[in-house]
Amino acid sequence: VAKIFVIDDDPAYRTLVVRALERMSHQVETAVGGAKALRCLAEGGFELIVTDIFMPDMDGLAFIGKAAELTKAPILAISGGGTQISTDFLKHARTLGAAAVLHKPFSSVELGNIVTGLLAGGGMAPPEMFA
Amino acid sequence: VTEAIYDPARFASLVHDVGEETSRTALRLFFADTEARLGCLGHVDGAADAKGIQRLAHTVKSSAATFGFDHLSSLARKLEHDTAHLASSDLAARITELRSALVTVRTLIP
Repeated sequence: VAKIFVIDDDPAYRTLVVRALERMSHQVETAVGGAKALRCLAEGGFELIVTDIFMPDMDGLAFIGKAAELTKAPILAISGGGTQISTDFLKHARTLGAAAVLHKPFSSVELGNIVTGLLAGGGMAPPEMFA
Repeated sequence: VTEAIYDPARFASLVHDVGEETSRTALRLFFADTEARLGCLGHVDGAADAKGIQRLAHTVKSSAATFGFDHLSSLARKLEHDTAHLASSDLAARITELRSALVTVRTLIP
């Protein structure tokens, strides 16, 4: 059981991700945007951060960079892909501190496998976890 | 239309993964959020709305695919890709098309 922080402004996806993690018996807290998420991160205690890279109030890569400074918990970046995603995103996300990237749409099994791997690693995932 | 309007296996898979209640809650949130975002766009004003349109399309693309609404997802993906290059009138037409597709899928899951 781990304390996991989920950040996503899409209410449907947030609901599905939270439920999938709760079914794995994890304790989940949520935020809709990056600014609030950073305030919550500062209080600490999370063992994994799951964040969408598109946020209503700040750049997702900037959030990952700031979050990585505030916590040692691994960061799983969720990406919908598409034109807003730079081809260098994975490299940037990795450089800034994301341990893995999961592309929407994904199944709860895919999410569970990555979450379990990141929690077991206790930190940065190996490079092969980058999809 | 080359892709299916609705792939029921996708929603069935979601129900299997997270349960029926959560799946239906997420579906209701998807419709409410998408309709609200579309409503906020109002009258399309070209470049001024481009960022909001692209963001909406990006979100709809992923969520619609999750529920099995493949045609809606495809329309959103194309809109996200094309937004920066479309004139206001074309953007408005694409958004109308997106709204219509959303209305269509609303009745597909009883």
